[in-house]
Amino acid sequence: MSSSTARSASGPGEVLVAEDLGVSIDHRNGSSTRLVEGLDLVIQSGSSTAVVGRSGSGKTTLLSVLGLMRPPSAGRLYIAGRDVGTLRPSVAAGLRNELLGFVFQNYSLVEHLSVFENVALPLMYGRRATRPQVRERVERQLTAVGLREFGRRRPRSLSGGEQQRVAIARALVRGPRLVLADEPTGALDTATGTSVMKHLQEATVEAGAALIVVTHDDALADSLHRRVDLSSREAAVAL
Amino acid sequence: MTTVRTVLIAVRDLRASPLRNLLTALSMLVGVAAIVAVSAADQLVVSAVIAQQEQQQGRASTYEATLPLGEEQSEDALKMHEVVRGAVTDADASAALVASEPVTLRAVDGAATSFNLIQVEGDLQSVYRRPVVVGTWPRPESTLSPAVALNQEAADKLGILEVPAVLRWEVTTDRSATVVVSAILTDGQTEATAYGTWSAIAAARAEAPPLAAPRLLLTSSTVSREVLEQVVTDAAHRVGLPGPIELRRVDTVAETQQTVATARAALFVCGIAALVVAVLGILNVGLATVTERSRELVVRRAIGARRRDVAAQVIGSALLVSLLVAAVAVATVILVVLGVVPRLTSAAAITDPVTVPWPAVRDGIAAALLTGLAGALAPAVSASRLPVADALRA
Ligand SMILES: Nc1ncnc2c1ncn2[C@@H]1O[C@H](COP(=O)(O)OP(=O)(O)OP(=O)(O)O)[C@@H](O)[C@H]1O
Ligand SMILES: [Mg+2]
Repeated sequence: MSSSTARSASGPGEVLVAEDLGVSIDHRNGSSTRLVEGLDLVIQSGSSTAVVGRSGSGKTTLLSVLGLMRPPSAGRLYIAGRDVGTLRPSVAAGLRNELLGFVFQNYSLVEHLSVFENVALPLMYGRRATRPQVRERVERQLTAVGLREFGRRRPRSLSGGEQQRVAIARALVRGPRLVLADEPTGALDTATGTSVMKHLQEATVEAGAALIVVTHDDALADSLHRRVDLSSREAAVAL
Repeated sequence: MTTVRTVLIAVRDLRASPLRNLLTALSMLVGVAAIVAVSAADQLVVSAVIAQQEQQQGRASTYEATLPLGEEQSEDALKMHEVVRGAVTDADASAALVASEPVTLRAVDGAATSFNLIQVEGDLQSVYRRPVVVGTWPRPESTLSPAVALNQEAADKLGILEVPAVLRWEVTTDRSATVVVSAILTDGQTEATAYGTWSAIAAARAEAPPLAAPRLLLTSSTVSREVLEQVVTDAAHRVGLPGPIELRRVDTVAETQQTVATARAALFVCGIAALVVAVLGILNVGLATVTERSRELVVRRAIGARRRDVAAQVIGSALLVSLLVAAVAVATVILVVLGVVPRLTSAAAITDPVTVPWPAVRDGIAAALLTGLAGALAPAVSASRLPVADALRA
């Protein structure tokens, strides 16, 4: 199943390449649960992918592997042409900052920071940005999600949909190659969810990044370019 | 991550729980204030107490020998003193010969009053801390008339406010001499006392004065008693006195420092105990805060903060609180020392002028920073160990 020739880099436009990827959880008693086995996946920039599957099938865990928060248990993983299969934690943090954007289900904004400061948060880590650069980038992203006037507000004073749009702005402020979202509309009503999803897709395309969304929502999954279904034991990639 | 960003993150972090930070600061302030107070009191109070003892009994390591000489042997006493001085001037030591007698003095138009006259040869100013308040210590031949110094009591009795002033000294019932007061000094004695050099007194008397029970005083912080005793004994041999002559330690500076060291240690232990309690409180709150804020911290990790960045955030904001505490403590010390202490001490203070006790300031800052650091380390470690993958689990 695994390709015998290790690739040194992925092709042009390939943001993420997974080969024979395995994801499993090691338990304290020494046993482990295999959630994903033999996943081959190529994500092109500008594309959008839905990760679906029944609850407990390992969608969030897969996303944490693709998001460089946990190493894969088998196979190879490349992001932006770089082998990211095993990384030191500090290197992984640097790559998350530089290449990836995250949109979480909810409660992911820092309460005591203003909307502006929340969006600027990724710029506080990794490569240094000057103050004018920070201002310019944050304002561009806030404008993109229609929240230009909200910079000074606190997250608590925003509606759920607005908060999620702030999170989208934050995910894109570093100019990531890949945006990962786990149930980004899970805490929102359908209409708000649809609008947030529209913002997420448009902003990601605008930024030239690829999008991977974990979702339970079939309609939402259908609106994306393709889906990865984790329900079957062998991960199926449907185009 | 650059220092600027670390500081910025720490400053913004203070907004997370302002009340909690305030309470943490207060609990630290108690211990830091105790340390600063111990340190400042040590310098200010102790130096005042020791100054007073140096005024009364002599500076650190003052020895006294009562010379076994009769009244008629004043020349021998002076000779001995001269020999001793010659021997110790190169070493770091001072010597003075003193003797006292009752005298009657009166202001030009005042009533006659009795005083204690201390006859001085040598460097009495180096033996005692008896600063001159006005004027200059009498120097031989500095004025046409013999000069004396008066202590505050004597000056008050005679109504003298300024120097030089002129006095009459009733040497005998039918003869008096004019003397000039060249200085008023604080000697801490309650008895009205005049100080004059042996030669000045001889001039006023028109005869060599008798030296009743002359005492030789020697002060040195470096030369040992044995060496000084040898010097005095050698000098005694020169005037034909059988040796050895014993020196008595008369100052109490060493004992005081001993007592103070004990009190200081006790207070210091109290300060440390207060700080330990503060550290435990800060630890408690810090660990709870990390748990409470774990969501925020793992989100930061997800978007690019490394473990050390998260640890730096926790430690940085704790150190900021510490710095604020230190600033408050130091400002208080400076205010008290420069604003309040000068008003409590009299103008004729024998102590050196009050200055900011920098060691106390240093101790305060160190105590605050160490407390903050001790209280923040465990929370910082636990913050840096939060699993980043938890960011996806709301
Ligand atoms: N740290 C862990 N320790 C033990 N088991 C874990 C751990 N993380 C995940 N699991 C298990 O792995 C399985 C997959 O979890 P995961 O959160 O990836 O599922 P999911 O597909 O995202 O589910 P849902 O749709 O409900 O969010 C679950 O059975 C879960 O209990
Ligand atoms: Mg999940």
